Amino acid sequence: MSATVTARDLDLELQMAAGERVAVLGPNGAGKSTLLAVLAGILRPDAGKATLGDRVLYDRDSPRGVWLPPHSRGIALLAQDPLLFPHLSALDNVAFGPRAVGERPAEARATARRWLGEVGAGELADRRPSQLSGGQAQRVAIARALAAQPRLLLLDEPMAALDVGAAPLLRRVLRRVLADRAALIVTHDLLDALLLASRVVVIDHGRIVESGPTEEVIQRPRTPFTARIAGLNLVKGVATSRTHLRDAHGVEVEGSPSGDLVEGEPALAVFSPTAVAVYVEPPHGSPRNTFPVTVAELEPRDAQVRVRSHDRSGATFLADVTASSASELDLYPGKHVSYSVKATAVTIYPA
Amino acid sequence: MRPKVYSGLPRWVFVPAAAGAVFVLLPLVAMAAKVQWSQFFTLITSESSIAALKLSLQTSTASTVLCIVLGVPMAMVLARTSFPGQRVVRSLMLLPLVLPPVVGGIALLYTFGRRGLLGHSLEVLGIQIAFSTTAVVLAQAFVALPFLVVALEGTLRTVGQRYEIVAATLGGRPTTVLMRVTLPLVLPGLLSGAVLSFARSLGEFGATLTFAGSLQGVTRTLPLEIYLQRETDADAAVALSLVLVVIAVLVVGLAQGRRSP
Repeated sequence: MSATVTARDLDLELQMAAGERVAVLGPNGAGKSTLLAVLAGILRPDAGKATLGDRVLYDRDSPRGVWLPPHSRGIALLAQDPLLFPHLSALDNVAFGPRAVGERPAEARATARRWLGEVGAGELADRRPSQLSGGQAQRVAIARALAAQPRLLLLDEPMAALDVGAAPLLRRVLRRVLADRAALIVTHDLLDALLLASRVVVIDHGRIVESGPTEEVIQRPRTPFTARIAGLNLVKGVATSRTHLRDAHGVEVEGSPSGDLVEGEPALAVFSPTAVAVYVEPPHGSPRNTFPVTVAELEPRDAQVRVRSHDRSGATFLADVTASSASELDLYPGKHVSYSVKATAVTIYPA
Repeated sequence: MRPKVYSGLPRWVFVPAAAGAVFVLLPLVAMAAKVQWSQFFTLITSESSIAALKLSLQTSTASTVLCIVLGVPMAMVLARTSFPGQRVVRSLMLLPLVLPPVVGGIALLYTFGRRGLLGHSLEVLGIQIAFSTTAVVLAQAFVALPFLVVALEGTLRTVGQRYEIVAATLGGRPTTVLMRVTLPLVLPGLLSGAVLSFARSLGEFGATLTFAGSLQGVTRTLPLEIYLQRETDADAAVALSLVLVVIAVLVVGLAQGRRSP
């Protein structure tokens, strides 16, 4: 598919294999929901063309301008909010799709029962949506989406509105029912991307900025956003040797190469916040990589403190230190410190 | 018991508020006090009274049905689509709310009357509308339609399109979605709109008198009958008025009961 929606600043191209599950990551307002709306047929793109299997969903580029309405696309949408029809029982909610394509009531109910069982919600069949918990309602919503036999399933942060307790069960259900099913999953959650999708696409400002197998994108992020999602520090620079890069401020970074670095070409380095040691005085004559930064925020996490700092250009660097060393170092926002990390803890690769 | 929450209202506000309540209720009490209870039953069961009551209930029911048939699609188009000039169209559709009913009656006369815009063509087909029971229904629907459209459009906007979008992505065609999702969701709004239209139709006077006249059993509805009796038999007028009050109270109670189950 390709789509341009000028008003929402969306302009991208995307291809999915049959039965492929793709996670869509991106900052708020990046265009993820717009992408889903275009695919579902809720929003008409200004330009572009999309096909699902042999069916043309829309073709704004041809003079005839094909545009299929949502109900003939075979694309079901599962949103944050389960949006079960409040006037129908759980069973009748699930039976809506089969009924809509012309199954007889009894037949549709049998289909619905089967799908409710599939998501472990068989005993909820006769309940009204108002009598269901958030997690139960979302499971019924999944059954309802699947019962419509969609050829593509769109999930818009399906776990975001659930409490922490309900998410793991739902994640398992989704993992099971999504196997071998074409799905596009918008999420903010790295775990969802890893568990539910085999490929991830990162969108920013309506453009795809990163794409690839989930593991690879997570381990070798190319944008600050992906690095943040992956919980890694990212340094952009220019390769100066097979194992070194120099960033915009002239800081030299050494790391273990992953991929062939070419001198003079753009390169990236990542390292985990746990590998960072924080010093008040820059360590002299150390073989480690050192970054001069200013502390911006201290975020306690159990017995650890996550120290969020910025370098001169405002790029964020994270360090995890123990609570006791944080107090020994007397860290506070605005303090100038040095982040130090061993070369063996840094992965360096071509951009 | 719900705990009492601090209202934050200054005390003096209660004085004009109470005065307003008395202003509404006192005339009703005064009227009820004038009713000759010994003759009440005889008065309201006279031939002309029964004919007027029957005609009122029949025409109001017919006009409510007409309001639903025309008003539901109107509310849907206004709430769910956007087209150039929509604001103007909405204002024009709601015009009968603020128009004096007599003016509405005159306008209808120049549309469906013998020399009216459509009246002439209709007469060629052998259809005469003015001064018939049909005219009563049209006059009532003309003034009552905006009530239903306003109530339903508000409900449609409150409910939003999210359920309809989900239903469409599940394969529901527009008609299926309308019947199985939209209408059930807005049913409370539709009912209260219908009740309001019915009540407005029941009380219609000006447009009916102008466009349909006052023929006993044909176009003389209860309000017209009351107005007429007032000249000759004030007791009958009061008794019939009380009947209208009771019907109005029932209708309002019905609407309130629906809203807060």
